This record gives sequence, C-alpha cells and structure tokens, in this order.
Amino acid sequence: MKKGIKWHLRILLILLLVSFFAPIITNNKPIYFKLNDIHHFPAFKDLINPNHTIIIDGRVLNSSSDWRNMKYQSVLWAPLRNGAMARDPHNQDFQSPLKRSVYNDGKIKEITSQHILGTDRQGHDVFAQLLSGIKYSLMIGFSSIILAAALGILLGAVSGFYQNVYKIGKGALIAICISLLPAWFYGFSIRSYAIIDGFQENAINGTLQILFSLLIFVGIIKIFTWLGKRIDKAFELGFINFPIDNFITGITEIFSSVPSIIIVVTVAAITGGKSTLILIILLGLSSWPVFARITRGEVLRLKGMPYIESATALGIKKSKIITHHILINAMPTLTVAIAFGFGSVLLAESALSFLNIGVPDHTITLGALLRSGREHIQAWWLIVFPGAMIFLLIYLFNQIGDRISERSNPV
Amino acid sequence: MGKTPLLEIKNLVTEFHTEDEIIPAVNNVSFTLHRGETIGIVGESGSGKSVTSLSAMGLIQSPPGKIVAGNIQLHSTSGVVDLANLPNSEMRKYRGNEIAMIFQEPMTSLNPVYTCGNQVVEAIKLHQKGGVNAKEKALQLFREVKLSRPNEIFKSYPHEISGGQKQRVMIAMAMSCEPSILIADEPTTALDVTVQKEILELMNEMQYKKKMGILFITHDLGVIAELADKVIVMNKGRIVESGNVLDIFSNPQHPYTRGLLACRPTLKRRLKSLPTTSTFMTQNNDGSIVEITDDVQSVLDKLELSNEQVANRIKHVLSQRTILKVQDLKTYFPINNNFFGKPKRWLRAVDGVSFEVFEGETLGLVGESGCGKTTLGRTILRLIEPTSGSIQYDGIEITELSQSELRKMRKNIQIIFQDPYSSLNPRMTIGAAIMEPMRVHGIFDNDVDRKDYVIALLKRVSMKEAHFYRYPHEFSGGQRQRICIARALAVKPRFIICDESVSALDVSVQAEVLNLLNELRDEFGLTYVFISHDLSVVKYMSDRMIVMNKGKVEEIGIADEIYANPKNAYTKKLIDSIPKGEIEDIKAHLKRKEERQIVI
Repeated sequence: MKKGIKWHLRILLILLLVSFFAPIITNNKPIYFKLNDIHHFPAFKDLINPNHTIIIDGRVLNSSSDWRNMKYQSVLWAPLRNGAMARDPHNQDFQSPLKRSVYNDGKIKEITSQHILGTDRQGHDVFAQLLSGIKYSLMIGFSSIILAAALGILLGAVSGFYQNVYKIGKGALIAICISLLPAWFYGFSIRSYAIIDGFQENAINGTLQILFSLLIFVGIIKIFTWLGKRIDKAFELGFINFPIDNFITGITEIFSSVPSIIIVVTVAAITGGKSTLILIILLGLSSWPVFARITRGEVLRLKGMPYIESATALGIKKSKIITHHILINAMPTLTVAIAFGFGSVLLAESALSFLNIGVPDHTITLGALLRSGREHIQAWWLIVFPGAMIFLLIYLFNQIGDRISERSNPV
Repeated sequence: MGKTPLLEIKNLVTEFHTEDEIIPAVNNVSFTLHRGETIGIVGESGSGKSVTSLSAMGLIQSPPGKIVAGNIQLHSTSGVVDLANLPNSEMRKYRGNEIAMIFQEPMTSLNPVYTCGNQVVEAIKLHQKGGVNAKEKALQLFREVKLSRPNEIFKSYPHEISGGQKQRVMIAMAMSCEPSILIADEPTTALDVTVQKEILELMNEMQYKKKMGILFITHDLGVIAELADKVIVMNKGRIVESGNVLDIFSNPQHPYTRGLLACRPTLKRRLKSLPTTSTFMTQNNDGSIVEITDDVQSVLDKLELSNEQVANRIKHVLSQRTILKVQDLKTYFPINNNFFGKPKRWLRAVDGVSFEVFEGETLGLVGESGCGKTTLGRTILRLIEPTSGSIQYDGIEITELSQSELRKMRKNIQIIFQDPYSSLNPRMTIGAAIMEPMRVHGIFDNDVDRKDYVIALLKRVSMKEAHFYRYPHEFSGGQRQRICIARALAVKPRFIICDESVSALDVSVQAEVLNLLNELRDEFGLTYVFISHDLSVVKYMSDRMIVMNKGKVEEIGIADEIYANPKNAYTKKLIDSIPKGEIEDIKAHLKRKEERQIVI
C-alpha cells in the first residue's frame, strides 16, 4: 500500500492560505470602514503592502488607539484585533498567554488573554506575527529553492549529458571568454543603480530589473558566440575539447565546501545591512550543488537507457532529448530533492535569523520570532509556538518528499 | 532401472495477490521427478514455469505470493517431507542440501565483492559440518565442472571471468552439497550457443555421475530436445501436455504444443511465413480452446517455398543497386589510458569490415556476444563514432556528415532495438512518441494528418486506435516491439537496422513479429540489416548473411549456401552448436543416455 500525500498537501495549503490572509484574520485595522462617505479597506491593503499608511483628515493613522477611537459611519473589524506590526502599549514586556491582560476597552480580565499566544517586549502579538512569519519564511524558502534548483538542474544536466566530450570551436570559445567582460559591464555594472533603485521601490520592480540585466548579459554572450562561430567557419580553426563535466563538477565542489553562514556574515558586513534579497540569493547559491549532483547522476543513468539512444536514432535534437526525454524522467527524483531541500533552506533561514544575521529587523520570519525569545528566556511562548511551526513545516515537506519518492517508485 | 521418486508435486496452486485481483500463477500442477531423470518444463513467459520451481524451493515472496493448495513431497534420505507447508527455518535444511538451484543470469547471481572460490567455500561450509577441507573440495568441484585453470578462477572475482565460466561456477556451487535434485531455471538463455552446448553437455554428465534428478526450465524447445527425458508444456499456469520427449516432438497432442513446435524458425526449410500458435488454435474469452488445424507437417509443407521461388528471389536481390556500402570500417574503444589520457590499448570491436547491401534485401548479421555485430549496427548509424573507414548510403558518405546533416539523414535509416521494455520513453504516450520524430522531420504539414497516419500505422502493426493515448507500461513485450516498429516506420525510412529485435520475445510472439517485419519489407520497399545471435532466426529472415567473429567478417554469402555448406571452421562450429530440436537429435541423445546407463 502506498501512503497518501493528500492530507499533507491539504495542511500545507491551509497554512499558506491562513498566512496569506493573516491581515484579515488578525489586525488592529478594520477590514472595512466608511468615513466621510468614502469606503476604505485597510486590512486588504495590508495584504499587498503591510507598511502602507492611511491619511484621514490630514492625520496619519498608525497606532491601535488611533484606529479604535475613530468615529466611523460603519465599520467591520477583523476577528482578532491585533496587528502583526502593531504594538499594544497595555500589554508590553512579555505578556503570557495564560495571564490576565488589559483588553482594548481598558478593562482587565482574569484568566483569558486578548493575545492568545502572548506578546513580546514591545507588545507585538505573537499569534499575528506567527501567521505572517509563515508567509515570509515560505516566500524566502520558495525563492531560494527555485533559484537553487534552476541553477543546479541546468548545470547538472549539462555536465551529465556532455560529460567531458564537449566539442567547441576555438573561435567560439575565445569569443565567449572575451564576451564575459562587456556582458558583465553592460548587464550589471552600469545598471547596478537601476537594480538597487528597483528594489528600493518594491520587490517586483527589482526582480524585473535583474531579469532585464540578465537578458542583456545573455544577449551579449550570444552575439559574441555567433560571431565566434562565423570566424570558425570562415577560417576553419578546428575544434577543441572542453572538459565541461570536470569544470562544472569542480565549481560544484568549491561551492559545497564553503560554509554558507560565514559568507552570509561577510556579505552582511560588506553590504552594511541585512537584506531579504541577499539572503535569498545566498541561500540559493549555497544549496544548488545538491541539485547539480543529483541531476548529474540521474542524467548519467538515464543517458544509458535505450530510449535515449532510439531518440537520437530518430534524429531528435540534443536539447529536446535533454528536456523531453531525460529531465522529465528525472523529475520524480528531483521533486523529492526539492521537497527535502525546502526543509533545509527553511531551517537555514531560521538559524540565520535567530543569529540576527538573516532578514532585516522589520521583516517577521519564524526564525526572527525565535530570536526575540532569546531576550527573555522565561517567555516560553516565544520559543514554543514558532519552534513548533518550524517543526511542522519541515515535517510536512520531508513527509511530502518521502511520499513522492515512494509513489514514483513502481513496486 | 528402478524408479525412485525424488520430488512429487501434487495439485499445486500458487497465487499472487495484487491490490485488484488474485492471479493464479500455478494452477493445479502435478508431476513426479525420479532419480536420474530430467524433466523439461517448457512455456512462454507468464506460463508459471518459474513459479513452479520457486514454489518447490520455498522461494515465493509472501506477500504477494502464496501456496494455496497442494503438496510438494520431497523424498530425502531422512524420509518424506511436504515442502509446501514447511516453515522457513526448516526449509533451510533442504535448500542446497537436497535441492539446489541455478539461475538464468550468471552475471548477477554471483556476489561481485567476493571471489568465486570464496563463494563456493561458503556454500560448502554452510551445509557440511567440520572435517572437510573446503578449499580442496571447491577446487575439486571446479575441476569436475571442467573449468580450465581452477586455481586462478578460485581467486578471481566474478567480473573477471566470462559468462560461461560463471555458469560453471554456479553449477559447482549447486553441486557442492551433492543435492539429489537440481532445478535449473533457464541456465543457458543468457549464454552463446557454443557455450550453451558445453554447459548442456556438462549438465548431462553431472547428472549421470551424481544420479540427480534435474528439473530444467526453459522457453527453448530445442534445448529441451537435447537434454530431457520427459517434457511438460505449460500455458497460463496449467499443464497442457506432458509426456515422453520423443512423443511430444513426434506426435504433439495439444494444439498449443503444436504451435510452439511449428513457430520456431527451422534451419532445413525456407518458409514464406512462420506459423504461430494462432494457426493451430484460438482461445475464447472464457479460456476454452478452439482447434483449427491439427497437423504440424502439413502446415509447414503449405508454407514452404519451392527451390525455384528461392532462386528467383536471390537473383532478383542481387540484381538491385547497392544502397549501403561499408568499406574497411573500424571502431575501436580505448581500454586503458596512459598518464596523459592517451589510450594505450584498444578494444577492436569492429576491425576492418567491408560489405554491401542491395536495395530491398535482408542482410543477416550473426555472431556470438562480443563479436561486434551490435557495434557495427550502431556505427552505421553513427550512434557510435567510427575510428576509420567509410560508410556510404545512397552515395552519401555518412562518416563526413556534420551533426545537423546527420540528424536529417536519420530519417532514411532507422533502427529497432532489442529491449522493447526500455526503448520507449515511459512518460510519453504511444501517440506522442510516434509523432515526435515525424514533427522533427517535417512529415506532413499538420498534426491532424500526422495523427491519422500514426493511427493507420498502429493498425497496420495490429494495434488499436485507442492505443494512441496509452503509456508504454500498459503493453506486453510483443506489443511494445510493434510500437517500436511503427515508430521507426513513421519517418518513412528506406533502410532499417533490426538489432536483436526479437531476442527478448517469446517464440510464438517472435514468429508474429518476424512475419510482420517480412510483410512490411515488401509493402514499404524496405531494406533490412537483421542482427541476431540466433542463427536460425537470421537464416529464416535473410537473403544473404554475414558471420562475424571478434570484430571481423568470417564469412559472407547467400544464407542458404552458408548454412548448407559452411566454408569456415567458426561458422561450422556455430551451426553445429544450435539446438535444432529435430527428431533425429532426440533419438541420438536418448541413445547416448541409454549407453551410459549400461556402462554403469
């Protein structure tokens, strides 16, 4: 009997949905209110940008009491009235979820707390932070694992497929080497400010800028390669054998032998601040060697299968053989690797954030939440709940990975 | 000679339980094996012949398998035991000691990390307590199974010795505890014919020396004829016929047996097409059998080509223009490299081969494993780069084509591989797999036309339209080979290389595929190079044939002439080694056996 995967995926989906809609579930701002005959949806705006501000009558509304004391025409509050970013001045200094706390209406109630998972030193609600922390942790995890998998699968497939017999024209090789310099210059060097500005605006803009830079980079290399091939044809320079497998395997070894925490600390020191993007890139760069190795092994195994040979005999292009015949058959193994890798990236992010060298101070992730528990060791709720959530997520991903591998194995 | 029963199997039923259904792999099988007797169990894959023997060894994996009913009575020195109901710990006493087994794959049934000697010594020590010099005994066994240089073999690892030598080591291991019963499960299927012949002779001799009972399982009727006293024919878990070897071969009763006997390509006659089991019977859905014809000889007589027809065909073929011309082709592989990565020694897989192929003919290419026939086929397609020489297809020099020119060229020359199970991408539907190369080569302008053509092709190879959207794992080996044939035909080639294309199939399926290939050749005007280790198949298929050995051409000529009058010593040896399954051979083998008995 093969074990089902359904329940794990369902729990994961529920967690994702809950954390995505966290500003609607728990928020100090109303979901909807009507003032001066204008309809406002501040909690929905939080979904897109948690740092947005609403100005009414020339006054910026930011504290919880501002929101509470407005005279609305009509209003709909969130089910739980604690924001992830909002401080509760009445319940500062580590309020336990089990102790009495001061409610929004000023009354003190025994036994039940308004903060169902307690608060930290500044009076942030732990439950609200936990929910939005899942979102950021998963986002960082997804982004870095996609980066790692893309890089690893590409390099692994190339090194496994071509091994050490990659014939390249002398002219083309020289052209590629020469092209790297201008490609870097026009792609990244002179566009560095545009990229930084893009990221200061928002993440989407920044990513677009990076993609544009990559396009220029690849385009310039392509043009040079084309020229090189022309030169090869015209002067018949002949081919040399480029040991592409040794080359890529070498790079893989180097990358996997450098400890990622040291790089993160160094880079954090150089850039002079913490950045989510840099964290994603660093996590991605430190975990791609795993994918490269697995892909290389799979490609080497599948390359010997008779159906690859018969595809060659039918005259199908090499690039299509790699994608349609080899990689698609390696997918079960790679999916498992991605699921396991996701768990480890999540853990690495938590560890880095716990050490205060990961995400910036105002980004809430599960690891960052754990860090605040370090300040006051008696506040067990700051350790137990985020810890349990990290455990649950990693457990889910490992189980999913496990079961995919079991299901894809024909017994 | 007095008949002492060794193993009595009564009404054995072994079932396999899967998630959806219960499959009775062995259904009510009974027979008795006597001392000094060889019983051959014949049947196609899935007939339950291996499961029968595994049941007797207590090696059925449970779950999913289970012996549901019946007795397996072993007459051992200490009395009669029923192996069917024996717990595993008790069973171990009899395995190896009383019943020994040798398997099909000598390559994988020896542990690669121990030396051959070590493994035999281990088997001896396991079953014989003290007082025996195990090494001495192992070496003596090695001499008994006629291993040359037993001392060296004792110290070598399995990968260092040949397949035939491995099978001899396996036999030595099985003999080590002097069992009374030897179960041999297709022990020679993976071996070359010349080696097979030696192993069969060895088994005959061992049996006569040790007075064993042998249960010999095979799909090859020819092998049975050279070895067995009694034959059991199995189909779908049941015994359809059993009896004396001579009776079965000279006067088969059941239509299935007749089909099996008739569908083997014979060496003596040249047939228009091969009869299959469906020539003799059809099976209804409820399993009942309807007999169609009853006489093997009359069926074969009807299909035989006259001498005149054969001569005309040869004359016609030789008058055609040359479509492929191979000259002094050499393909070497580096064995070991020196310090600078330059090869020091070469394996000469194809060593200076020259031949021509005429348009519309079938050129057979026969040789034992490692003779370079497969490498030659692949080199012609440039799936392997040649070291030197020239290959001209229709006046175009293939060795000088660039990669993109070569890809276009592939449309004209196709190959059908040996293993139908792994030559289809498991994640592509049949339709997609056949249409992909058509798209690459721009055959038809749109997918609608392509699909119509693919469906027409599928129907041509006796598949159904509905199979277009199925995945390869849903089909049997024969069906997959048909799909591979359809895919090769999809790009409208003129030249097809069949690389052991029927070797992995059952005899009756093999006959169907061979008939199909012959029909397609005439229909589409194809030219074949037919590569196989099986001389009888090659001789049936081809007009002319090449005998290869150690990378070189031993003999080339008209197939019938080579067979009737081999000029070369190697060809002669090859032809002599084929188990032919003719009645005279059976009589001779039975006579030999009788003489031996008298000598004792």
